[in-house]
Amino acid sequence: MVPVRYWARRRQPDAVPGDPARRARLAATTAALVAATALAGWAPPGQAVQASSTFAVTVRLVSPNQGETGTCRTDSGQSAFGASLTVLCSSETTAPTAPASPGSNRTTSDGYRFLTYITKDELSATVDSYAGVGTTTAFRVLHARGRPYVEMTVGW
Amino acid sequence: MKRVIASTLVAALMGVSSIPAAYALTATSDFTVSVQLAGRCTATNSGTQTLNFGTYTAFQNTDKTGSVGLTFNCTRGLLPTSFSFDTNSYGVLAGLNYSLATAAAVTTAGGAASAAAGGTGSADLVTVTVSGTMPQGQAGACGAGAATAAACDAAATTATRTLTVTY
Repeated sequence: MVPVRYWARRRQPDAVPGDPARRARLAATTAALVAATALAGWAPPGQAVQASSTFAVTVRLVSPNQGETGTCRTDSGQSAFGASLTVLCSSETTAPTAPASPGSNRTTSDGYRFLTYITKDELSATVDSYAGVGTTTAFRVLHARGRPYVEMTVGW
Repeated sequence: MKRVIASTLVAALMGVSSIPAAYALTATSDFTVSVQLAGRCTATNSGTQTLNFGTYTAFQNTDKTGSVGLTFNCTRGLLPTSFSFDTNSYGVLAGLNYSLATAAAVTTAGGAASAAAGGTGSADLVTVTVSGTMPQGQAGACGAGAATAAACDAAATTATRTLTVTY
């Protein structure tokens, strides 16, 4: 014989004891919490969602005079009277990106000292000692082989 | 005659309960298993990675570059579609301008789940490389109260940035 069993459905005990109004309020609160939790991480199907990651960006800035030597250069060449002459100085130990070619007016010098020749007409001009981001600490005219040169020393 | 009737009853009873007592019977019921998966990516190394430009010498004649790899655990098969940074892809650090860029994400496929105990599988590991470029020729700026070169050079300057991946 196959045993046949019958289960009588038992009455479930009250989940929340107390009056019906209290149970109703608790049920409503629970439903609201469940809905809020679900909505917090919910996005409609097909809608893009995002994830973020933070990271640090760091750099150590040092002054160019930390190097023992530097290089100054100019590409201006021989310019007209009153024209500005731009001299770029760097403490990088690497060679200048555009080495001076023979016969050009580009002049380089180590130790933040810049040397280039000038014409006699330029000598009569007023010298602007401002040297951009650096400070001109010495400025003199040299004569070599009958030709005047201006030497400028830049410091920070 | 009585013996014949008795034999017939025994045979009939045996026919009704012909299964041995030790045998179990089975009954089946189909049911549906359902879930709605919301795909996600989660940063795994947030806040711990550094894009280090190293030492920048003011007015140096070469760009400074650096990179950092950021990793995300993603739902398998989920592909990032775009990247963005907080504010924008530029920034200023120690008075130095820099730019950020992202390369295409590299995904290492996770393991599929299996229908066995503990067979939960693993996430796709998505690595996004962020590269930074600090252009040459910049003066930079010392921090407050660091007027001398020695004070200005004392320490590195750090800022926190955020990469957001959309998928």
